[in-house]
Amino acid sequence: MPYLELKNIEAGYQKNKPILKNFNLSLEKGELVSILGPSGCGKTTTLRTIAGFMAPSRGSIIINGIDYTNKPPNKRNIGLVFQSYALFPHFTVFNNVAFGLKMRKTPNDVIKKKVDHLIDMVGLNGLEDRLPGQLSGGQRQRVALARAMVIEPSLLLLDEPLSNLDARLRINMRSEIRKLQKKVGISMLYVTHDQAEALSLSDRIIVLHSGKIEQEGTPENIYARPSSPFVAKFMGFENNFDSEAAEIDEKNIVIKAGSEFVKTELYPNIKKGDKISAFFRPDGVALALKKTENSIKGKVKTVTFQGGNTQYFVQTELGEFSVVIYEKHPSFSEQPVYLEFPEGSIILKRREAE
Amino acid sequence: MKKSTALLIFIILVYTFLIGPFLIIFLASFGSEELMTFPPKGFSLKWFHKVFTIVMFRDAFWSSLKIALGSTASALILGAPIAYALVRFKFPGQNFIEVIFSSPAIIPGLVIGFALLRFFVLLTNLPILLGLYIGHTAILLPYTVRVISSSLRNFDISIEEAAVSLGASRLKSFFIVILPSIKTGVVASFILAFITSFNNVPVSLFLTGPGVATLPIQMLVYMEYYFDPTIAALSSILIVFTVFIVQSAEKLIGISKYV
Repeated sequence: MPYLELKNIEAGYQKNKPILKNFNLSLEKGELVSILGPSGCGKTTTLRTIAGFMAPSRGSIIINGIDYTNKPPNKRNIGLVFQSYALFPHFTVFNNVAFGLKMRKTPNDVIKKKVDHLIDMVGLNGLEDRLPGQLSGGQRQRVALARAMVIEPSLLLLDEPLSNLDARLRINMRSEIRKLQKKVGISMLYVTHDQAEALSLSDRIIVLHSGKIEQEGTPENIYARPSSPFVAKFMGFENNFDSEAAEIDEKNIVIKAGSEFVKTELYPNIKKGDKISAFFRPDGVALALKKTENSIKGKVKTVTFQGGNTQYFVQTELGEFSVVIYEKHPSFSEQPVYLEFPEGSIILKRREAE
Repeated sequence: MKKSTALLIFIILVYTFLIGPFLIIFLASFGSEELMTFPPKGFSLKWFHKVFTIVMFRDAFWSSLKIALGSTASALILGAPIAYALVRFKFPGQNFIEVIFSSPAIIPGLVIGFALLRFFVLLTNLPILLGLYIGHTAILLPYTVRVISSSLRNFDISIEEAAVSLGASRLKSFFIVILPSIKTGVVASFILAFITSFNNVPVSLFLTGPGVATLPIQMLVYMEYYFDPTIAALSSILIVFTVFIVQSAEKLIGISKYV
């Protein structure tokens, strides 16, 4: 039996317009699961329902075999970390972290020991007497983490905890959260709209789209094989074109690409003659000046140098595609080029019959 | 140049009409003649002395103070939960309730006073002091509800949820976490409400009765019979008193952004 289980949850702000409908989710003990999706997809609603701030109109929430559905939020022992940090502005760092223990009437010497331990763990030694206003964004989020973890919660919920930090700090904090989670072995549900964040720290990712789970799986799996056009776009398969399965043999599937043909891996549910959508990443393809085996013809429209890489917009008979090249290369300008597809760079999705 | 001259004239006009009357009262209170005159002839502090010797002023002052403090406190205690509910929750009829709580600030004071007179004095026959206290609480509620809701709206709801998730009950988190964060708004609404009650004429006019009068009402009554500078002296004292309260509150916590 999973550690956390949401069963057939229906929840939302308005009674007849639920954001989550028939929603199921499970999480194993010690697992870090990310809920990934654009704003308004229901990820915050999911968290608030688990935390007890929103009552589901249907369904149940089970944690460790106990029904939490009707438990008041202050009796759930679930840790929360917010995007806005939500620190108590008039409390020092120490008192912020100690808050949960004080509410539990823990003896003072135990509080001191536990709080010191947590402050040490998130690396805030020496800042115990500061007020939140005197801390940087990264430090505040560490306080928020310590504050939520000191109560040894049965579950830690994080709602876009890194969105207010700058890019570099965000990447550092990502790995720190992951390290902390592994060290303590705490079960975490992590909500984000940033795919890189979800990919880098999760055991499992749940992609949410307008209240429904689009895809669920390991980061590697979701990154390589998105199961729907929505997930594909979200995972960086920015280019797509309409096509048709022209030929299928034991190893490959040959698809139509305008007047040309390219091949890619087999898909069990795609048969010859099926109408399909093909997706590929800007950095999944190469550019060449001469025709190669698996390529289509195009013309470079614009070139944007971006430091570590260069972005090209290439006009083909199928439309304009974005291509990102990392290595040093002969510079392509407004000239005919060939868009080369390495093995497995194109993913396919069968189009439903119109 | 021309624009700034026009602006200067405008400012002078505004200040003349805003502060001018006060200045006249203030200067007149130092006059030595038996009738209020301007400009005052001679200089004397005897009217200030007389203010303190008139018993009905002293009694009225204490009544006003009691009523102002009591009704302000009640308006705060009632207003805070109302403001909290209006800001935090969505419920049917919310807009209607919001309108009700701002109506005493929109409806003319005389109308409220008259309505309360019908209700308290003629219908229920409440003791005068109690009637005044309840009436003032009613007219102060919109002020406390509005000022406290505006500071609650600026308060990050996540902070309260964090407290609750850490084990605090809603009530506990209100006192430990929310109240300290909105205390400026609470103090501001206290001062605003106190001054409103202390200076109120239209509602008090209907609710005062034999033996009980608030200071503004007592001043009106006095003026019907006497026209010596005592009233001017008392007015000067009240102006200084009010300015002092507002100024020190502004210095301490900067209330102007709430009012």
